[in-house]
Amino acid sequence: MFFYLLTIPETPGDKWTFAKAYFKYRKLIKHEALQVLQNEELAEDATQEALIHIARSVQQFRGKSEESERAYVCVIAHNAAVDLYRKEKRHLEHKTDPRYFEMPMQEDFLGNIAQGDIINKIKELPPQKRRILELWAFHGESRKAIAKTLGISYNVVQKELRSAQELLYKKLKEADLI
Amino acid sequence: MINQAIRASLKTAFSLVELDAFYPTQEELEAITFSDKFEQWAARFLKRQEHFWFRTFNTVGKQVAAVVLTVVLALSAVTISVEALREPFFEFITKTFEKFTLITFHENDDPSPEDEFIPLKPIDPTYIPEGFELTSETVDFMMNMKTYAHKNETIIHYSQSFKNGSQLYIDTEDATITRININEREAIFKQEYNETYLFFTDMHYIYEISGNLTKEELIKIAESIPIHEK
Repeated sequence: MFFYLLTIPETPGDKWTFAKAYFKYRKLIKHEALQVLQNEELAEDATQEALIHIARSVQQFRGKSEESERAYVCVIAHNAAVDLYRKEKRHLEHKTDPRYFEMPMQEDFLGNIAQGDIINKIKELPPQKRRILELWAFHGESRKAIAKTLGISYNVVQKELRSAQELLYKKLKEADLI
Repeated sequence: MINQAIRASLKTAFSLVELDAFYPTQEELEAITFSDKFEQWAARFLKRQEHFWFRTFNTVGKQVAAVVLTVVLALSAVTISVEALREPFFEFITKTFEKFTLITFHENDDPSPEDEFIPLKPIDPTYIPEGFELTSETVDFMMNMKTYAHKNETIIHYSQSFKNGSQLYIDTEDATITRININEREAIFKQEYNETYLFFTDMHYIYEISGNLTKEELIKIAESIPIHEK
């Protein structure tokens, strides 16, 4: 019971924020979960987990733009789906989880590349990596804020950002743009 | 280390595209459906967070505040009353904390003897603005709660709960609180950003209405609650 009390929105304002988020994003959440799990029932389980996460961290959503809120919701949904996927142990390896290549990157590897080329390669990134980059680079979210909202550690956010950039670097290199 | 120059380049690149292109289309989302099992879970989940007891005591801080207030009252044997807020059927103890206000309703407001518990008689507003549909409902011997939603994502929450001996928590941080009249009863109206909240009482019950509605709409709903006292 005590644990449950801590899982729900704290104030009436938070309650409305969560209720609005629920009606607004529930389909998006399930859509994201379906992309990972390819299974209706599991996707709904992941949707539940994502909604519980959002209810717990609803205060973190205050003051965020609609676009940033949407990116967060997608990342939370994806994480919930991947967690479930791993629990289910249906496959040993997750197809959208190329992590941390430790690729040596130039300090400012995007410096001399046309913006159009960069965005074309960003489009090719897996959605989760693209959204982490979107939150950090476009919406100006700090790594600390991302970690807090997603309920993950700062180091994980750091690794995810690093991994997303390494993948982008790899794609640009493969296209002879670097 | 991740370079700030990279961040700036990425920001410019992102600004060149419509972000919507990275997300599912409206048609794709419309194709998403939910099972009855999920809908039942969601209805329960939404209802639980609205439940009076959860809402009143849903954080450790508030639980501690409520206990402290109770102990202080018990030890001092003094009834703290706010004279300005005193009305025949609207009598409560109020304690303002830094960020919220806790209102305790007197035990003896309800003339019903304790051993003659009378279940709650649900009373609903007769007016709900056009376009709203009932999306969740909890009616039992203690509570009457309803949520209405509009396609434009506007939500109305309505609840009727027992007043006797209960406590009501109001988040007063960043909020504008005003007293208004609802059918000659004093009501408390709160505006916080675009969210509005209103409550008033009769002899037995607390009525609460809230949502992202205008003050006028909220008052219109409140005035349509058919209270027949005595």
